Amino acid sequence: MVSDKVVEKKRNEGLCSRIVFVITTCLILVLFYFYWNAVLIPRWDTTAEWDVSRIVQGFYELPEDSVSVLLLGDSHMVSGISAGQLAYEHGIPAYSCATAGQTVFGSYYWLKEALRFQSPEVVLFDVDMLFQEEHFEKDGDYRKVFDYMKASSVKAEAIRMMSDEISKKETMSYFFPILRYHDRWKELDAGDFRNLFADKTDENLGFLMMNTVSEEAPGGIDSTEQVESVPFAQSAYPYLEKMKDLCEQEEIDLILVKTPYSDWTPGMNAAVKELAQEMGLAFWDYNDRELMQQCGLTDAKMYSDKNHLNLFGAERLTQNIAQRLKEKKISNKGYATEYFEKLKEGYYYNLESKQLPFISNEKKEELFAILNKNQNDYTIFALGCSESFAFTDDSTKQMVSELGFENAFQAAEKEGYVGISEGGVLRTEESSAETICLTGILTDGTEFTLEVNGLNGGGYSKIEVGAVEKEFAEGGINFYVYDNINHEFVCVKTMY
Amino acid sequence: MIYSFSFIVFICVLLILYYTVFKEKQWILLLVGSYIFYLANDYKYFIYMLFVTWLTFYGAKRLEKYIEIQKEQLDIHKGEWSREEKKAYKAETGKKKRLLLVLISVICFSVLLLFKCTRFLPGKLLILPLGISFYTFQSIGYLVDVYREKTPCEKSFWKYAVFVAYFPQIIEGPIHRFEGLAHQLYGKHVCSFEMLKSGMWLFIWGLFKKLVIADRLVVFVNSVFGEAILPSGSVCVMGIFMFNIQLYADFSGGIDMVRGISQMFDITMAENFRRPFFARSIGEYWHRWHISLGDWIRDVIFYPLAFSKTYAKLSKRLPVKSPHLKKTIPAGIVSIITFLLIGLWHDISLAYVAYGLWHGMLMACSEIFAPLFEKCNIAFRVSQDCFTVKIMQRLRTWILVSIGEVFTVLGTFGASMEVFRSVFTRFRWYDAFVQSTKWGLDGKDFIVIVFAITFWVWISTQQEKGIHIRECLAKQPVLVQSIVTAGCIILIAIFGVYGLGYDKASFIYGGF
Repeated sequence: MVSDKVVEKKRNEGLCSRIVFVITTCLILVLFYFYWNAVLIPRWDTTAEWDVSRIVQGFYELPEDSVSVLLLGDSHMVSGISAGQLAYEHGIPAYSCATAGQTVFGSYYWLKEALRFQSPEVVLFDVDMLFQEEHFEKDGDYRKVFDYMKASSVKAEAIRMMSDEISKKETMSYFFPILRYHDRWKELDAGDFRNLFADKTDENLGFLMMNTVSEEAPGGIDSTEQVESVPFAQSAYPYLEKMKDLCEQEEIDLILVKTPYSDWTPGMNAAVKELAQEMGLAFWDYNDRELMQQCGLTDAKMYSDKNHLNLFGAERLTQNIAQRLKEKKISNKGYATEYFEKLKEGYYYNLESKQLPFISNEKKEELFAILNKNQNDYTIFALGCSESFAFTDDSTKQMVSELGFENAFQAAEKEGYVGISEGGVLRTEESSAETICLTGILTDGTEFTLEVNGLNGGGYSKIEVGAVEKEFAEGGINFYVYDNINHEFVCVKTMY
Repeated sequence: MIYSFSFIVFICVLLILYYTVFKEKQWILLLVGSYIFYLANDYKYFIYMLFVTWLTFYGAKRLEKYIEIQKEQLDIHKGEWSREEKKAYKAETGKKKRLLLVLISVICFSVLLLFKCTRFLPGKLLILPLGISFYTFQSIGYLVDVYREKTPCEKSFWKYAVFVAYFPQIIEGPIHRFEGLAHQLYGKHVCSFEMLKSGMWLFIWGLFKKLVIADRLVVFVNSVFGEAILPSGSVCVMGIFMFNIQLYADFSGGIDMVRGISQMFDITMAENFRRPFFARSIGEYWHRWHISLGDWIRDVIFYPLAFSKTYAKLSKRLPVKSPHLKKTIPAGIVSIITFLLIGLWHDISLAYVAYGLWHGMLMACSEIFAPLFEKCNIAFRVSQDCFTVKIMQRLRTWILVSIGEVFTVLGTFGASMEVFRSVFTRFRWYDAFVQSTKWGLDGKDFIVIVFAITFWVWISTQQEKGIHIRECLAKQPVLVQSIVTAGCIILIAIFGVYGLGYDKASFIYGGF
């Protein structure tokens, strides 16, 4: 009897250890998986990457049923209409789920996903992508839509829909992004690990503040002109119909919008107008010249490039949108709660910090005056190439010295020169007849790499700060001015 | 389906069915599973595999029939026939058996040859069928064993079909002999957790070698040798060493995965590699490298040649006095022929002829000059037990093997000569360091490679000492086992080279 008990006890112990092994292995595997998945998915959090992760992750931080207006569409919408301004200035709680390159397919599934948490009354949809075919194999734009979307039946449905057009490997990697991004281990930095536990709240409510200035603005169209309609992309159109059906079902007012866009044509306007009439939807086309003038969107200063509004342009457009939305008597859903109050503060702080003076590339006196005044906000890379020293005039030499680059002109004629001043403090100065390569880390943790050739190298300089790269194949003293607050280059200029 | 997510799902489903629904007739499931696997990967040549199975099965049956008839006749005429009559009868039956064996072998090898020579035909019409070399060699091996009465003939066609088509080994081998595998395939197996776990660990280890080491090194190797103009000699040397490691990691990793899967089905497969880079001589290397092919060639080709009348005649007629040379020169010739065939098994090309000849010559020379080496060792007081000597011998073996790989790395003889030319005429040692990151791998990749290989060497050293790593791991606390298992899977998932790859440029928004 005793020996039987011992045998049974041992058997039970064996069974227990097997169960423990399976459970602990699975648990550890799942933990490791989620951790590394979160770390390896790119952050897409720079202006150049259109701040995708902030927009998407920020959406999930919103309290349930707190949004009345949902914005959908591509980059034109991301930078064109400020949900923050709608909410904080006009009391219309809004959030922009638009992401760069978001196709109509992506917008439809974002709408579906958003409806799991919010019950908006109005959806503003930028119709730009209605004329673009869905290209599921070009996965960059789709990744940005779905990678940060939470695992749900909506996400699974979207991936299933794409699976007919993409390989099995790609389909699997939408479910398990680690399969797509595992190679990123090479470029991981502290930010990737920090991001995991960082506060995901987005005070800008999905709006991207662009603060660069374009040299040209969209010309606009005459929307009264009678022209033939441009056909919609066949693969995109069905998803607009689905969006419309979904909105009808949920009693949401779907409004088609087109923010100013230089490639917009009267034919496109006519097509969307006809469609809106057929579907019984409103269509607000801000490419109409009269409307553009009325909103003050004809000046190039309102644009960050010829297709995207900057924060000044977005402010004006949003003002007009808000007036129109107010007519619809949208509920404020208590946006002014403590939560939104907190966000409001952050939004205005961001707005203020984004409104640093843009640096004009026209006059060097202006440039030096701005640099001198705002040295604390910038990192200035002064890279001297080839004949720079031979031809630099005395006034330039004087101004460069005033910025702290005292040894810039002590280098020999054929030498290259590197000077770095960060926040008004000279970090380094170096000169050599050979190529100078430098790497380092700015005080905010961003890595930089630069390369300068002397005359022997033909006059060439290149710089990379974080993910942003700039280069000049011109002799002279090349100034690269990097904005430490907004993490972007605000000026690249060569002087003699 | 090979080593994909679907493959893992396929294995899991098969395992569940194997130990539940099919627990009484497990071999049927193995056959069905093997055929599904083959059809999913290469359905076009499935019929040909069936043909080889049928041909060798009925060939073996016919051989056994001859053997039985011979035995019967000898029994019937016992005491009746004189010794000469018996000998004459045996010779006549032997001739029939031999003819049948040769005929079937010729048919099978001709088809194999045809597929391997397809590139010489205009238009390159045929693609090598999945596993053709492995199942052809395995089937012929079975036929030879029946011919030599080493193994009885299998009575059931479908059971024999499992032996030919057994799915884990059809991809990369090993080439099994009927005796060693058949009884395991047809026997009843009970599910054991320890066995499943151990099999899984072996599979993970194989995956590590393949994805983290081999598939990373292949980027470097392809980049170095894929250029129209070969780089500096030192980079070529580095490329050859990398190729050597890549080849071993890829092949042994694949075999470990096969063995791991088989172990989960409670089928133990023979080791195909026994740490070949620990070999101190070329002879030892071939006892450790691709063991199953070596054994097959030795049993089917080397021994019959070495014990043939021609060999004996050659040995007698050699115009040398030394008994050592009388013995080793013919043996050397047989070695050269054998290695020539090993080379041709890999590919029908001048490059592989050179590869085979190189190894054959090394084997022949090592035998012929063995007394001279011995004298040198005594003269220079070289102790075989000295650690440094052991290391030097291993290094020497590795270098010699690497020289042989020069013939195979580019696939053509002319190209391999270019590699030698580059090594001897454009050798700038510093290029290997200065230019190492120009060939597809960056510094971080090299760090991973160094860590992975160091870990692999450490594991191999433990195995050389007779330590069974998986058994040691199984003795650790459950939590340690779990962390190691999950950790290894995640490490492979992160550092493995697979999938679509991440190219930041493809994600850059082109909205502007």
